[in-house]
Amino acid sequence: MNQEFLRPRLVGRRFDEHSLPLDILKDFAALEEMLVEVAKRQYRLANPDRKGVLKGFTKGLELHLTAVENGSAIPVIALVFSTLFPSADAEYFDQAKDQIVEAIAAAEHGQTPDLPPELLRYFDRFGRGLREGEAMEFVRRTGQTASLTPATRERLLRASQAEQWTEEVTLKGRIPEVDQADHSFELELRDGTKLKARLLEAHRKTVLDAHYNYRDGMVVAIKGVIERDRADRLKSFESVEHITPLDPLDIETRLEELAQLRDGWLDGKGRAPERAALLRLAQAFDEHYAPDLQLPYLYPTAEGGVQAEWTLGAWEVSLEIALPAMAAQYQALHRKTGESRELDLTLTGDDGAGWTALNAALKAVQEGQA
Amino acid sequence: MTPDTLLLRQIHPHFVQDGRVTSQAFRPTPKDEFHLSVDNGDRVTAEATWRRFTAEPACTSAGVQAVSQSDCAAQALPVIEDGRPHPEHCSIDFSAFEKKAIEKKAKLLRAAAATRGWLFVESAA
Repeated sequence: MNQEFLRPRLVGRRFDEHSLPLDILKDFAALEEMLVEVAKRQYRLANPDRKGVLKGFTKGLELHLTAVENGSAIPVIALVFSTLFPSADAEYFDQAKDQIVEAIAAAEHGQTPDLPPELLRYFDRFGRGLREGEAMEFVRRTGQTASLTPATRERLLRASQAEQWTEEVTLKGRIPEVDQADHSFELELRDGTKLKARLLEAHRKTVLDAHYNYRDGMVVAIKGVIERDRADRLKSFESVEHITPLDPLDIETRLEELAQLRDGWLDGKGRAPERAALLRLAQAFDEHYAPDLQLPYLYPTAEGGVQAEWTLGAWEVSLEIALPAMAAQYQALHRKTGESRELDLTLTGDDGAGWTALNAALKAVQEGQA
Repeated sequence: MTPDTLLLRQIHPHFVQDGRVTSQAFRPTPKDEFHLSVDNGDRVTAEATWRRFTAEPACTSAGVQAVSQSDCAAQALPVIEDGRPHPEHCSIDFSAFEKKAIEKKAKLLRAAAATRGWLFVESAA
């Protein structure tokens, strides 16, 4: 027997296709554990004379994902239990659901949640899969909405008095140290922070390669779960899912590097590029730059812009991008013949016309490199 | 100075990515009044010029690359032995050219310097 139990609305780009990434199912598995524990608490409160919880309180009870509906994605979660399950106990699960939703609403409105700290700690795993800009919306008994976001989750975890909690992250850095005897390695972030992680057999080759090439600046991206303390300091990796070696010319990584520049970076001269403009440029490259083209070298300009450069056979190519306007000057010069090609491009605009023209110009040069 | 004289140029660390130097390192910035600072390689070594440059607290250099006097002549760029602020100092004069022409010349100078490679690198210091 089953009955519809929960219909949270998932909001964010990942859910726009009205489907659920498998990654987020881990959060619902954690929610199920949390519901059981909160339901037990409700049972104890209602039955103060009973020392323990009824044997078999959760026996045969599971949460099942029965459908995913539109809007942007709404997983339909049913409470499944055997027909012998005492219906009176199902009420505690309804109460548990309300308690959890109310805790989220309290945190959202800057109030202290009612649940005790040890139960709030389930938010370490429930909600961890949400990224910036994403939310899980629940309907309260009053009909209002309670929204679990990364920020709400952090408030709930701070209220749980936990000394540290975990987050799903992708971090980039170099590998200065590997301890094969200890099955561990360190990831060094750009700011010098070193984070210890377990060395899994599946990652051994990639980690050793990155360690060997540490001095040459080889950067890897690690997707995993990190521990963070109350002071917002990263502590170490709890687990590592993927390690990906990055191209030395990886555009996003290089633009993140340029975002660290301060005014005066060029021996006292040189304006720093605006961080937000660099972010927009990285997104634009990601969306519009043709994947079959050679990646550019990227350099800051003294005027606070970025200059992209390519050496394609006998052609020397530059694209000087003024920021934040994203107005660009393209120049290709053939070293032997002196032939040059120039274009003024605008790299903004939804139609991506400037990028289309850039891709075409580079393709023409790349195909006739001699 | 002869056509083979190397003109030593300090390369700012942010003008290097994965070992490749930008063409911007071989053209004057707008504040340089169209003159690119170099040192006469007949009179000073790459290492000595790097040490002198980086001894200034505000100055950083990843190393030294060079173009020859003949590279400049091929681009109709005069080389002025101005001897200031130190005796070996020279300036490559871009003042006769507008921005797009300067960028083309810088590309060719960069390519010539890249062929010679690094004459001195910071890590060797």
